[in-house]
Amino acid sequence: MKTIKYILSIVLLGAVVSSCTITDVNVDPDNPSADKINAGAVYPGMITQTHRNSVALVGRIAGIITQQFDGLDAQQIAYGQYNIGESDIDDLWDFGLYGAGASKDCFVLIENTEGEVGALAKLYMAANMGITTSCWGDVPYSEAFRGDAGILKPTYDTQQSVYNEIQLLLSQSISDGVASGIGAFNGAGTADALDKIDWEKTAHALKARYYMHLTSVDPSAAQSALTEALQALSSTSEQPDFVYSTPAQNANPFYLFDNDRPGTLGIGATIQTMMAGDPRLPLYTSDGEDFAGTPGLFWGQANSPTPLISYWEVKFIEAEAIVRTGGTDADALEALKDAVEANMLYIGVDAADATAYVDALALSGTEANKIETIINEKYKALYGNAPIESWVDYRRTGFPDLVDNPDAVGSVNPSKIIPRRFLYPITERTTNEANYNAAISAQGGHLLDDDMWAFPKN
Amino acid sequence: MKTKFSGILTLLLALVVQLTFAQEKTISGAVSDESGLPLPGTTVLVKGTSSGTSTDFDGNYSIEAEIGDTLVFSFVGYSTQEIVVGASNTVNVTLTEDAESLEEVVITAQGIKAKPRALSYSIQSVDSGDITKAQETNVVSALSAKAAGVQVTTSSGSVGASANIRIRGNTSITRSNSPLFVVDGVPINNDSYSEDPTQTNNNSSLGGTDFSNRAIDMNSSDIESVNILKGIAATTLYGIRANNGVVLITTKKGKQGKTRVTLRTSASFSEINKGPDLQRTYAQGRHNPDGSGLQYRGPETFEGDSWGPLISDLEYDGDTSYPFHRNGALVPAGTGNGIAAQSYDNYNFFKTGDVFDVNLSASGGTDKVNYRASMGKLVQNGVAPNEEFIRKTFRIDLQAKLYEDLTLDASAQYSNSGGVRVQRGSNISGVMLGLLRNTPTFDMGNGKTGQAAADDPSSYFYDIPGSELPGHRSYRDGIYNNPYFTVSRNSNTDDVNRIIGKMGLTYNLNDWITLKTSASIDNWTDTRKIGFDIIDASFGNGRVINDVIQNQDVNWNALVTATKDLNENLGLTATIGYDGFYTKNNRQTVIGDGMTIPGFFNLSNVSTTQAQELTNRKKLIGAFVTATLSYNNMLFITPSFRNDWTSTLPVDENTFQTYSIGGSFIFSEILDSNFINYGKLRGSWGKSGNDAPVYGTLTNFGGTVASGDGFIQSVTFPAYGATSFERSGRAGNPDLVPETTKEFEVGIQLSMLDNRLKFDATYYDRETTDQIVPIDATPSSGFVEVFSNIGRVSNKGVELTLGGTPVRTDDFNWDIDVNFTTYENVVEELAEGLESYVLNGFSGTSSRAVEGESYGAIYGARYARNDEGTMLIDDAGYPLLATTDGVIGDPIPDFLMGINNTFSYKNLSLSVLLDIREGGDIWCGTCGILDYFGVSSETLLRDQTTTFPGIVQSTGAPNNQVVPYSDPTISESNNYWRRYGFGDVDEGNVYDASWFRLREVTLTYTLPSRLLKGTFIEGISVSAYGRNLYLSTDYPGVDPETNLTGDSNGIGLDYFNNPNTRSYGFDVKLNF
Repeated sequence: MKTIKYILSIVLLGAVVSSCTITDVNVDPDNPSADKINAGAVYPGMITQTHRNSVALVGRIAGIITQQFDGLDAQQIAYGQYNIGESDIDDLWDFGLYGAGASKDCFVLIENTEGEVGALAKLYMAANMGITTSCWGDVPYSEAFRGDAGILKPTYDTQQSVYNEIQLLLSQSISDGVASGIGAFNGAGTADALDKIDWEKTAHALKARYYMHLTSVDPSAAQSALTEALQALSSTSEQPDFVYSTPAQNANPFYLFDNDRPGTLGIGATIQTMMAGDPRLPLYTSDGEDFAGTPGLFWGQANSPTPLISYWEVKFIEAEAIVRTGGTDADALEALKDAVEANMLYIGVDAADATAYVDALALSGTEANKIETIINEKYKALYGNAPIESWVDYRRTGFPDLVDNPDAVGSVNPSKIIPRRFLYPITERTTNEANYNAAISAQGGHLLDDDMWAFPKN
Repeated sequence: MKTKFSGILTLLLALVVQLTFAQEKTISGAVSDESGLPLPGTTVLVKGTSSGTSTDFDGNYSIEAEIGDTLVFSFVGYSTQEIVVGASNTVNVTLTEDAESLEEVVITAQGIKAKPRALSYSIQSVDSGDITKAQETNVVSALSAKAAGVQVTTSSGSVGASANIRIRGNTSITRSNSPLFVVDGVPINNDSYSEDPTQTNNNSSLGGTDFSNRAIDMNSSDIESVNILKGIAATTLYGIRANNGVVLITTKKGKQGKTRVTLRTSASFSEINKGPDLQRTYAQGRHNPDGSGLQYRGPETFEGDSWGPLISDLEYDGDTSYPFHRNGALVPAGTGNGIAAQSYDNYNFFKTGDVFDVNLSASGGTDKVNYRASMGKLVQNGVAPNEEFIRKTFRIDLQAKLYEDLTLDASAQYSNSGGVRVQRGSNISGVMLGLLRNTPTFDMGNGKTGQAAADDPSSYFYDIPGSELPGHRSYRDGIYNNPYFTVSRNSNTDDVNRIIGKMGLTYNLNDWITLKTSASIDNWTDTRKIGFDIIDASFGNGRVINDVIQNQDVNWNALVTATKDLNENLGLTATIGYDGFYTKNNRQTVIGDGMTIPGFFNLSNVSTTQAQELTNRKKLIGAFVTATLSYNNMLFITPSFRNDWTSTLPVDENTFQTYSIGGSFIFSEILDSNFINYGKLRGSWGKSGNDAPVYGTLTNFGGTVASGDGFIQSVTFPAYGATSFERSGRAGNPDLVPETTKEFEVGIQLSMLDNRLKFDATYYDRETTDQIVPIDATPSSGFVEVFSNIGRVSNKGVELTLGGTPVRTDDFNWDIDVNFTTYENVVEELAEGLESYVLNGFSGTSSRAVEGESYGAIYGARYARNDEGTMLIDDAGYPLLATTDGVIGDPIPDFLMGINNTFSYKNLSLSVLLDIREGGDIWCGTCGILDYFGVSSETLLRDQTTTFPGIVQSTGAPNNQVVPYSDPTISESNNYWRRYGFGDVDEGNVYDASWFRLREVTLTYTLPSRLLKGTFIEGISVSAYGRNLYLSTDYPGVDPETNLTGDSNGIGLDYFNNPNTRSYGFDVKLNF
């Protein structure tokens, strides 16, 4: 009988002791809390995600829309028919940019650092917001990313103010000392290549790009872009390339897409027609259909790079800005030739072939004719590295002169034209309805044929 | 193994024989009741020994005993008698009825025994016979259609597949809705873990294998009975852990008497019972882009469509070097070798599966010690080649009287289970995706079928000149796996070692106070190895995953129960106690990519690795008290209260109270009716709840996953030689409060016509508020999820059981038991601005919680409709797609009914279990995809025209345009099945999953004991049984008892799920 009393007392005592320590159990040994994290632990993932954003999901869709790619199967065919719904592009918004994505990482870095340590985060934030606003128009920024501070339903800023904010971020990035390159990361690229990247020039390059976006709505845009372009990247080795690697999940998103979703996407018929005889074409496709995974293709290898912005894009911007600001054709042509040649040499075209090709380039006719020549060349050069910018160029200038897909469906695009924007993602509709509706009505709709402020139809 | 069994058997038999020879003299006699009728089956024991027997049909017995021994005669419902053996060799005994013991006791929460009449809630029992009858591997599956208020969905017919059990529907949106499993008074773990731990954003349950729920480690042969506690009043004493009900399992125990050895062997065979209908009329191919009609396009084009020409218009070209067919490539008839093109039956892939199950147990006891030991081995080969599940169990139970008032109760169980699984679902390396999408003109088995094709690499490999590696022979040249490749080259093994140990002490302080304490440890380790071989469709460079999950649950409790009659009329039973629960779970995963040696799934054979570790820990302490006050054994009232302290709630607010009050009134006591023998009214009200998920109050940093694109894999850091961390996409909430469920339950129980007709009805109404949900945060707020207390889910239902014996004669008996369940399970409220919450599923189609809709509502793309609900038609004459997704199906059935008939004639008995499900939708995602690729039989309509009913949107007039389903002069992407994108319109693929099925049939013959006289065998029974022998349903896919997302909260989704099976077999049971 005594035995029982002992047992019971021990057990009861055990219970009392464990009750006191019960909350100690609620510590996650595998996930550190915020106070244990430094900036260097956040930068690599943020940078990887940002470069990935420009060529993964929405990069591919932009490529399909602008006919750099053709959908061959499954969802990719639907995208080519402009049947791009609210749950087709939400992954980028939710996991690439805002919710669990790169812009959120940039915000965390900017909030928790000062001076040089956060300068690169501001530069990358500008690049991510540039993609965001050019795809969706009015988007949350000034109230965004602060869910843990109680702002659970951010309002949408006008596209105009987002573009202003992008310029401000880039200016601050320069003045905070982005030249130091603290936090810089180039994936599987070499340390040597990383050292050569000029981050201050990159900031100017991005300023040039985002001024240029506004040529339809801001008369001074071209001049501002030109000023920035002249301070921007002066060679491809200075451009911020991100180099991917094997295994497949770490590979270039084009390669990875071909690997994970084989047979569903091919290089576009339109771009191939435009590039007939172009020495780059054999480096873009081996059989008129493949775009990745085949040896010899430049942009479709596991370790193909993605620049945040390229030297050749800067030179194309410079050429167009010279034309738009009344500069000489010779200056514009020189910039155009530099752009094309830099692109060709970068991807491995023989120098003699490149020279022969650029020597044949000419600018003539009206301003629109010259811009068409420049944008058509830019379209060929941005293939595989900046498809979203080609979509911006198309909406901004109408070039290249693409034909709407005759098989287009009207579900979210009643006029069945080449899309002018994306629908806001389903997740914003279901969680932030009031602000979502306000943004849609402020812009007169968000169907794919509704214009956004920056890119009115010509 | 078989030789080992026979060895042990011999040993045990020797023991029995030896006991039999220890004789002195033979006593015989007859046992009868007060009216002189014989009492067959009365136990007769020699006290203090293990020697005993029982009376035969005429109440006669004979036993060996010495003079001076005491014989103990016992029979349920009668007072036990002891008689000392004297000179006489004949001892006749009359037993008297014992009114008190006549009423059986039931085990309730915390192992407290109670009289059924005192219960204020419904409780349902399933006994051992009903559990083992159909030889289900998974004890949860064995409960299907056997209890009112219980819904069981076995994920598929894959071996060892998980089964999802819900008692009174679903209450919680994100927490588990699975009940607590308690074995002999201590909870055991019933978790299930889905596959690929790398797929953090794509829910991994959509594309892995059907891994088991851990209750599968229980051997059904060890189970004596299962009691199901449904309502809060029944489960109050388990507090937070039992919010979804309790499955109380009682194992078989040794009984005082002679040693009893039982050997049970069964063998059964299974085959797939249903799959979607496929067309075998049109060949692989497309509409010729030049508009000239249908064009054959073979596997070498990598194209997946079967929109090609009629197979009858094609023949082979005779090129024997062509890797995709032995007769060569297909060409138009008249241009080849004259051999007509053939089509193939893809279902030939499946073979007959089998199960062999052997169980051996030995039990017995003296008046001091009872024991039972058992071992079992089950080997199951699935219907897919190479699919296998093996379970080995060993269990020992011991009860010993240490002192006169102190009883020890100890048990130990070891099990080893696991096998070779096959992948399924949304997975190009799965079996069903490659199998069903396969074009009818491609012979997957290259001339062979089933196991033979799987064993022959020429079915899935072909030589590529100049390459060491072969090509992947599938209808898209390796874009999807050939199913034979999947089962032969890839590997999905699990190996679970589990030990459950328990020890308890019961002390009778005096004749009215009992003290009880117990502690248990349940430890399991699941070691998984997943391998994708080189040239696999998903991981062409090869991938190896080593995945180890370890789980430890520790439970302990102590309680004091007092039972006392306060005066002549008032009785009191009261219990006070506490319990504790600690669980820790650790999962370590290493993924290796880039293999060199094909088929060698070892981390030494990969070029890169990534690792991941996850740990969950939780502690819960509870203290409880309950009392039942009775008046005249006719009126009972039971209040109960429990307080929980849990580690997952915010530090200062970590307690939670569960309480209930219930009463019962035995109105038959005052009725004195000849018609109603027993009548009871009962009612109860209670409040319970659920705590927060582990770490739900914290926002931490985790390893960065660079994703943002659902089409491709994510980059998981460390990567590129760097580590990286990011703020979690899920915001923790330090202000979380527990979920709260309140329930009201009333019922009536009647027993009529000398207990030949029994009826029980229950109505319940429960509501759960403050649901803890990681709701979609507005992504632009910098989080994708935030834990919040939101929403309200209601459950209202009626449970009926009707049991009767329509025929009872000396030789023939017919018993019938019917259970009927109907319930409404509605999400009444979600958070403001939150339209729906995804329970599980795809970004396109999912099972969701949607305000005002049934729990688990199927959500996806739908047709555009006007305000009256009429479909809108576009100018071309085809239905328009709505611009937003919405609710397209209700997965909750209208009612479920199980009808169990048992016919017995002399030694023969036949039991037939019918299972009826009315209503409840399932999304046949498979169907939409098969339509898209032109392989479903529905697409045979491709040469037809139709007029879609509806209103033309632009004109408002009824649609009268005649349109072709498919126009071969334009791209096939414009046809009816493709114009809405991949997988068609989800709404068009939602089907009513009503069914009528013959779930179990068992025919048992027990050999008359006189035939066994003189042998060492005491009893033989032989059964033949069948499972799922007949199924009637309008559902076009696999058997509608299916669930892609397994034991998760998502319901009603079918996307290339593995098929279900029908099986039949026989079973032999020997008693020694």
